[in-house]
Formats: sequence, C-alpha cells, structure tokens
Amino acid sequence: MIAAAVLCLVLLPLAAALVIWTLRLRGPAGPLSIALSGIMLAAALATFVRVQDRGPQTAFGDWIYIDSLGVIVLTLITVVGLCAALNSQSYIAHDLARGDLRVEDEPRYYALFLAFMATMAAVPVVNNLGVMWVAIEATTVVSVLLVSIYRTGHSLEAAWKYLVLGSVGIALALFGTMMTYYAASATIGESASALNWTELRATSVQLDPEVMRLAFIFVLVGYGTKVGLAPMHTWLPDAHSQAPSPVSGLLSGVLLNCAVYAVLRFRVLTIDAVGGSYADHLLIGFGLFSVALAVPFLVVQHDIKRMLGYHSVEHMGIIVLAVGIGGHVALYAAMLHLVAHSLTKSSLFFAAGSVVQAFNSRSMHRMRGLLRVTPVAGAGVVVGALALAGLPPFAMFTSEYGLLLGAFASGRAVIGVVGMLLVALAAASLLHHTITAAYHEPRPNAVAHGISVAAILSVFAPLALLLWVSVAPPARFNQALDEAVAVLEARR
Amino acid sequence: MSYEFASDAIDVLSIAMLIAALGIVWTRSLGWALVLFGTQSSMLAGAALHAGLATDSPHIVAAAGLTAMVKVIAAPALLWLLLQRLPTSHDAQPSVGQRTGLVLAVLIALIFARTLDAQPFRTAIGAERVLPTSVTVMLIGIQVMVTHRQALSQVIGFLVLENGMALAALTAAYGMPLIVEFGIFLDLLLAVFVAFVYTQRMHVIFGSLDTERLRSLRG
Repeated sequence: MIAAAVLCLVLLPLAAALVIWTLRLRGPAGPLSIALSGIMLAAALATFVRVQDRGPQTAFGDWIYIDSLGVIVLTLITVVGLCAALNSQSYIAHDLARGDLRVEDEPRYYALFLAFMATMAAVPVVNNLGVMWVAIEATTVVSVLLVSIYRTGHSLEAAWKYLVLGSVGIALALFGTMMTYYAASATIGESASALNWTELRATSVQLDPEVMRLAFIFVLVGYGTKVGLAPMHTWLPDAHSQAPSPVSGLLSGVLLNCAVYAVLRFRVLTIDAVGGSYADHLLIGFGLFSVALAVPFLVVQHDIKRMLGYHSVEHMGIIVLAVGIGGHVALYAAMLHLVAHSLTKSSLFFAAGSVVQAFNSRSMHRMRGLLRVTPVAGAGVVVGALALAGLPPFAMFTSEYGLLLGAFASGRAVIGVVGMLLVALAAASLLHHTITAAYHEPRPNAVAHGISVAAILSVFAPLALLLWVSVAPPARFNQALDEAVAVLEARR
Repeated sequence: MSYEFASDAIDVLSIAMLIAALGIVWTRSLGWALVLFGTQSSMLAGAALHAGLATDSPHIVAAAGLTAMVKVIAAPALLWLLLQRLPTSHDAQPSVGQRTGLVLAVLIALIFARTLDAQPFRTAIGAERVLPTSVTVMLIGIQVMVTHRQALSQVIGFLVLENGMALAALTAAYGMPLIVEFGIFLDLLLAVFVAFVYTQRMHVIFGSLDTERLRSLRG
C-alpha cells in the first residue's frame, strides 16, 4: 500500500507534469492539477493513518522509509498543495486576462507546479540522505522556474539570486552529506545503504565525532540557506515576493519545512555522535540571529509579500531556536510551530495574492479599506495576521509559550526571553501594518472585489484546520506530534 | 595500481586543480575561464579515476566518467555556446583588480593549508593533502562568485566550487553511492541549463549580463 501511495505522491504528478508540458495542455491543465493534488492528499492521509497505526513504513526494498516525522511534513505538503492548486485557478486566469502571463505560460505553470509538488513530496519519504539531497536540489531547480514565470526584470533578479545562493547552499549541504557518508562507511561499510537513515540511526553513536562536527556545520549552513536562516536568507524575501502568490504559499508554507526536515535529521545524528551542546548551540545561534535580523525589516516593510517573506525568516528562526533549546517541551513546540506556520503562512499568501490583484499594488499603504474593498480576502489577511502574531486561541500562542517553558526548563531562560521579546516586536509590527490597512477609509474611487469560491476555500480551509488543531486538537494530531518528537530525541 | 602511486597522482592533480582555480581568478577573459574550468574538470576526472582504480571501486570509476561527460564536455560546451550566441562582452568584469583577487585567493590557500592540517580523514589511499586543497578550491569558487559581476563568471565560480567538493568526495571519502552520484550530476546539469536560459533572458531584458543591474529588490 505504501508503494502505491508513493507512486501517487511522486511519479503520478511528475508524469502528469510531463504530459502537460509536452502536449501544451491549456484548458484541462488547471482541473488536472486540482485532481492530482487531491489524489496526493488522499495518499498522504492514508500514509499518515498507516504510519500512526503500524509504525514506520518501508517500501521498494529500503529506498522508501516514512516515519512519524516525515509523515507530518508530507501531509502538510499535500494539504497546502491542494489549496495552492485551488487558488491557482482564478489567480492564473486573472493574470492571463491582464496579459501579465502569456497563453503559453499556462501549461508551463501547471506542469512546473505539479513537478514542484512531486519533488517536495519525495523529500520526506526517501530513506537515503543522498537521495534526499537530490530531491531537495530538484525542488530548487523547479521552483526557480516558477519564480521567474513573469518575464520581468524583477522576477529574473529574484530567480537569479535564488538559483545562485540556493545552488551554493545546496553544494555545501552535499559536502556535509558526503562527510556523513565517509563517517558511516567506517561503521556500516561502503555501500549505498550507508546513507540510509535507518542504518545511520542504528549506528549513529559510533560515528566519528570529529567528522560529524565538520559535517554538521556544512549541512546547517547549506540546508540553512534553503531554510532562510540569517545571514543566508537574502534570496528569500525576493523569491517569495516575486513568485505567483499560490507558489509563494508553497515556497513559504511547505518548501521551507523540507529544508528544516533535512536539518532535523542531521541534528539527531550529530548529537548522537558528538554529544548534546555542540549542535544545539549552533541552532540557537542561527535561530536567534534570524529572528533578530528579521525584526527591523518587518517594521519598515510595506510590500505585503516581502513582509510575509521576512516573517518566514522570523518563524523559521523560531522553529530552529526551539529545536536548539531541546527537551521534550521545546521540541514539541517546534513541531507545533512548524504545522501552524505552514497553515497560516500559506493562507496569508493566498489571501494576499487576491488583495494584490484587487488593488493592483503590493504596497500596504495603497491597501486602504482592505475589509471593504476586498471583504473576503481582506478578512483572510486579518485573521491570518492574528494567527501569525501568535494571539490565542491560535496554535502559535501555544508553541511560542512552549518554547519559553522549554527554555526555562533547560536553564536557557535568557535565550528564551530575548527570543520572545523579539517575536513580540515582530508581532506588534505585523498587527500595526494590518490594522492600518484594514481600518482606513477606502479611496473614493475604490470598487469592491469578490473572489472565486475555490480561492475562498484555499484561504479559509487552512485557517479552519489551524483553528481545529489549536482549540480542539484530535487525538491523532497530538499523537503524531508526540511521535515526531520521539524521532527527534537523541540518544545522548 | 599501487596505493602509493595513486596517492601521489591524486596529490599532484589536486594541486594542479588549485592552480587552475587561481588561473580562473586571474584571467579577465571568459573564454579562458571556460578552458581553465574544463581543464580543471579533466584533472578531477583523472584524480577520481586513480582513486577508483586503486581501491577497486567501480562506482568511483563510473563517477569519473560522469565527471568527464558533464563537467569536461556538457557544461563548458553549453556555456561556450552561450558566449558565442550572445553579442556580449567577453570580459569577466571582476570587481576587484587582478592582483588583489590573486592575493586573496593565495591567502585563502595558505590559511586552509595550515588550519586543516589535522584533518580527520584517514583514507585507504592516504591522500591526506586532498581535504585542505579541496576546501581551498571550494572557497576560491565562492570568491569568484562574489567578486564577479558578470553572470557567466558567477556560474563558472559555482562550478569551481562543485569541483572542489567533488575532489574531496571522490578521493578522500570514497565517493557517494552511484545512484546518488547520478542524481547529483543530473541536478547540476539542470542548474547549469537554467542558468543558461536566465543569462539569455537577462541579455534580452537588460542588454548585458552585468548583475549590477539586478539590484532593484531591496529592504
């Protein structure tokens, strides 16, 4: 069954992408992308239940390995993916009608969209860390083409920065992976399986600590570039703001998770081999620095999509900080924050996309009367901003509180308090920008804009899910987070 | 082939790769930079071949073949084609002077030759000097990317970085499993192809490949 699910998650969308690209399918491409995203979601949910009921699953020999950590990342990819596919329909139709996109860009967009989904879905299901690297690099190559789909100078600039920085980062990550293989071949022996997570984890305590120290630095800086950790984050606000909004939602909501996932795997191996504080200190440093660096940019930012991009830097910083603080509570907080960020940020980007199209501007100064000119999408932006600011009852309140508790429990109170003060500043600036836009009188010539049912669904379904897991989390959700934390807990 | 001979050959080839990297820092001509990169890649393929034969590892020999195909032929040919197609200046446009660039690169080389002396790799073929050399080549690749405004120079810098990494991977750390190696080359080729498309588009939109023009997204 897992084999069939993996085929639906990776090969099916890739094949569909190839068909759409070669046949230049225009009309059916959109509905096809929704159907395939739906199939992917169904396959991911089936995998989720299977993993929860029967433990980690393998398939295709030992090439596929899905545990409770991978299945969370996978499910988020498909949930956000289906919403992005729904959102794409009216978004792309609008840009085609305005002439921002050319007719031949439509099949190209949907083909790349599906290929992007497939490469992301491959990341959390493969067993071999080398193959995982290949999948992550493939996400870069595909998503770069989506960022540059508008053929403007700005989008080219964003895509070039993303390609160049992303490639350098990923090359460093490969160097780290290679060193891990070297360390593993001493204990496991020289074979393809020496990079398999299952084998590495079984022997991680015996890995050469000196090599693993060096490997983790390269992996952290390398994959950290894709996570958007400061100071390697400079491509992120550009790429996330220049991409079509449904793609921004995917980039910010779930692609960053894939890179975080890679860092998490190597963190466990490094701690097992080297011992506690080394990896954690590095993670705390990068996490805190990312949050601190994002704050001033958030305060002065008026471009709504760039602002959301900097919030991604901030929130990835929070997740990495929580992981670095460590311990059951903080790790649980990190996983909860990862889920909450995916749902919130993707919904915000989808809503922002509709708002930007209605006002024909990204500047929040021009979005006066947000709630009157674009009542539905505007409401999405306001609710999303409340959730992203970490106000109760939304889950980010719980996860940020958990981070603070974890910090006190592990004797890192100062770090936790400083981190939360910075987060509070970021939240205040977000609320200020949103409230200003929402409650100003609209310009006299403004006309109200509606949005399509599919777009409404794409904005509010993630928020509804977020509210569900925040207020009355189902037992399966809590169990999934607990089991993911168990995967993250190192042996030393 | 004996271990000693392979080890000596890899040491010589890795130093030659370092010299080729210095040549790329020095030259102002994109054509020469491409030639130097192709030469460097063939040295890499040679070093990998020695390592593969000495340790009887068919997958490293295969990786050497892939290196020859992708990094010696495909990538330089693609970039050469681009250089011929675009009526653009063949000047690499470094933003630091030739001498400054070279001094910087030599400094990097000296620092890493000393600090990585106690490197943790103990390989069967005993090419102990490879890790400092390969990290130096990687850093020189990054230096080329940072100090050149010309888009193609940045791509070449990235490829030098890749070569430095592959040198350590193939000779010191027994290479990667073949399937992973294959994926790595496929991704690399795709990335170079995307860069190929973008530089053409850059030329259409801005009329040059000067990345100084890619500076409007700020703050």
